[in-house]
Amino acid sequence: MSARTTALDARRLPIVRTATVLATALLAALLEGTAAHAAPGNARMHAEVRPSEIQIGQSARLVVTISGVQNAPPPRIPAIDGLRVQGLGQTTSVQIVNGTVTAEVTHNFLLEPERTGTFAIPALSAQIEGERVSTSPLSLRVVDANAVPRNGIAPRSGARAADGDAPQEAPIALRLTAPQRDLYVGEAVPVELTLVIREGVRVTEVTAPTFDGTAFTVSRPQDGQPRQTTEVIDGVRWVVATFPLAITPVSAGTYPLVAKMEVSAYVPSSGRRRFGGVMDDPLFDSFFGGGGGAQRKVPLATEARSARVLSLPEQGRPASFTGAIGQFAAEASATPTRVVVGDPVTLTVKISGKGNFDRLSIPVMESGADWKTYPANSRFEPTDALGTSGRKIAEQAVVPQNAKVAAVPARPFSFFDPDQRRYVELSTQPIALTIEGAPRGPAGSAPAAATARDATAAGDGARGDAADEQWELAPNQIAPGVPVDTAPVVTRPWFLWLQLLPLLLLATGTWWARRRDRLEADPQHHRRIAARRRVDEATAAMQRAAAAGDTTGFFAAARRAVQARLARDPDREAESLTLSELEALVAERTELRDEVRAIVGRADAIAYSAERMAGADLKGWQQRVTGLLAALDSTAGRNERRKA
Amino acid sequence: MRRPVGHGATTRLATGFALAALVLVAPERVRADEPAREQSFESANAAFAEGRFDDARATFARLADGGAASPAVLYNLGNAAFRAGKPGEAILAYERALLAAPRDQDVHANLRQVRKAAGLDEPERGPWTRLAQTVTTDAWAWLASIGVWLGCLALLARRVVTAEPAARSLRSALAAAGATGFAIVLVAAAACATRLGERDRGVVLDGDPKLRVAPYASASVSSELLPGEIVRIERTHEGFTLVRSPGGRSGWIADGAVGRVR
Repeated sequence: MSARTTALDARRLPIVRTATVLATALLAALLEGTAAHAAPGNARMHAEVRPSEIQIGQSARLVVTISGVQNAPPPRIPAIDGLRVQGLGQTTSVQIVNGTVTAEVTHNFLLEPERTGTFAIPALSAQIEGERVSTSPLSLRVVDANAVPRNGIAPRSGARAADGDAPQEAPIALRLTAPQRDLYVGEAVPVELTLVIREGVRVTEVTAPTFDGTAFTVSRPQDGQPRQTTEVIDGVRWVVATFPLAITPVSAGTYPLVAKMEVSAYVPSSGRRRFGGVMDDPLFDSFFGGGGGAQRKVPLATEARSARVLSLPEQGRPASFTGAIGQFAAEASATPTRVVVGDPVTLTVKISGKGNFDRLSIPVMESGADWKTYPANSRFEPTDALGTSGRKIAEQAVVPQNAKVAAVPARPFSFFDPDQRRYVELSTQPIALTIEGAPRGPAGSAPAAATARDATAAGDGARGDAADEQWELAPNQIAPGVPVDTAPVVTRPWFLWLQLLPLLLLATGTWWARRRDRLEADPQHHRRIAARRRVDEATAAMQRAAAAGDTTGFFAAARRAVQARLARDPDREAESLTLSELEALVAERTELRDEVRAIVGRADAIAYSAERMAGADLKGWQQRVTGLLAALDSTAGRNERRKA
Repeated sequence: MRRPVGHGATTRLATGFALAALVLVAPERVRADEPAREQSFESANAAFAEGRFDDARATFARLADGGAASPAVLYNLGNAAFRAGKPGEAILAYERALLAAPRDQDVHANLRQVRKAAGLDEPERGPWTRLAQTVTTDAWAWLASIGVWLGCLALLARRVVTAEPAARSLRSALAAAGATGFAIVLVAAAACATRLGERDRGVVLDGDPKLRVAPYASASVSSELLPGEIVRIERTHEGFTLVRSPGGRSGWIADGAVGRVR
């Protein structure tokens, strides 16, 4: 096997080499084409610090991208006090899209601060193919280790493995980003749960995040997929998976705010050999199944912290407050704005912003002297996966009751702003209306049912239910009618049996007709019928002769009956069978043979002797003949069944 | 004198069939509580006429839930519910009335009117659904049954009749009758199945029309339905019902917020 493989490899090697050379030549040609396309004057340089804010002890990455060329030297980074800069190498990418070739070179630098503060990175410049290109100045903000950066990862200080691994050793860590302020009962608080995975670690399974205790309910986005990015810290690449969540405190108090998650991961052994270059990319680790370490379940928990949850203050609570917590804006519109008295107007109130939309209810108009109103319909249009931002829209049909109405009144709305720790009162603008013409007259002069059927145009903007006469209905029924059994008849067993009955009839009739056809085509069946008829005729003649005291006639009929019953040859008349032939036909049954001999022998004797018997004797002989015929029938039936 | 064999059995079979037919086709069942039912019905109508729509609605609803759900009771219940500001309940009552009286023009007219008032579109119905909804589920079932009997008896008779040339035209007629019977079975059974499928429909009522992502009160709200919207009921779980709207929105809704059209 090994020898064969080697031989095959040996045959394939020249082919592989040839293909490699051709592919290299093709790539070179493409890159040459790229160079030809990258004419002087097309080069651009762009720089970015990722992330722009970190804690002391963390590192950031300076990424300088030079597009329009396939090769460019790294720009010179001037010395910056308190910030160490270390080159991480360059990458080149070439893209061909619809025949258009684009190329760019990316230089990566590691930025390691030695102190807190804001570091200014001056504009970088480079000479690219005879042209001078430069970047914009950048800055890196480094905060204290106890402060919370706006973004960036903190596997060293901000995360821990729940199984006790030292933070700086943990290849996987969990971190929770939540507002550093008091929370309020009922508030929908967006938080981010960040799972940080060191390069080389392959995570195969992640459980849904949970929170300690029952102080918070957790909402997850419908798709449930995390946002994934990569970060480089101290030259090590980390995969960062961010899970957006929303938590809602359910009661006041101080509670631990610790999220937990369990992951299954392949963690490579520490002694794994690195080959350097492109093969060190963690992509290959993932692609080829990790670094060869063992898979294990890793329970993770975020850093222990607590959150204080407050009840909403009673003081300053507006009358229009209905439980909205967040930041919102309100607006209202109405259509149509030119109506007659009695015509419905659709009032639309939109509340947009961020907060607990599930507890937000939009204040609706109440009926009064000027307005008749109907219940509103509301819907929510989220703009994020968690449903904590978006807009809620309520539509309500309102009907002006008199011509003095000049506007749809302003709609009040209030909410609690957790950042400002106070209630905010809003009010929509009044919406001017033009009331035209005479008021709508009372409806219903036409027959109600006809009105209902023909109504097509009334109230095009109306929503919700309507108890108004404008919605004409056909009148009520005046008789209660016959109650209807709501269970369909097809669910009743008897109905199904009723359908089986014709099928059974069909099956039975078919069987009977086939049997009839088969018998009609059977000559033996016809012979049996004829023989039975002859036996019946002879038996009837025998009875008549016995009744008449005709001894000769009786025995002649008895002989015919026995002959007809035993005849088997269709080509021979039954009456020509002799006594010896008849005995031979029942030779296997001695008692029958003896009886045949007695009856037929007696008949022969009487035929020649003209002996006469008394009526009682004839009756006795009649019973013997009848018994013999019955026994012969029974024997014949058994024989037929045996043959069948 | 010999008694014909099987004469007694035939008589008993015929008597049984006659009794069964009498039970099946009896148009009305005798009800001991008929006067009380009529009295409740009239009092509900009186409350309706006086503008006490909630009282009328409650009485009609009691009649409908108490086994006296006639199309007239359901229709009046729909009227009262609408006047009482419950369009969802009204639409449910009309839909139930249409199950028993699918061609009642008053029910159709009021249902259209209530849907319009509630801002709902008429549900889309294809030609086949419109055909299936011309008669009740039971009517289709009986038509299918007639088709089964016609088809089977015609085939049976054709099989019994001999193949003699004189009977050829009779055999052809019986074959045509059998084919017609089974064609009736196909159409009626399909229509019956369509109508039975309508019993999985529900109507969003006037309570809490929020669709949740899971069958728990604390689960996130994914969407909200309008009272009176028709939904397909898929399953239930501990006080919640999984529904799907014609537009494809799906979620769990509180049991009390949806009524099954049954």
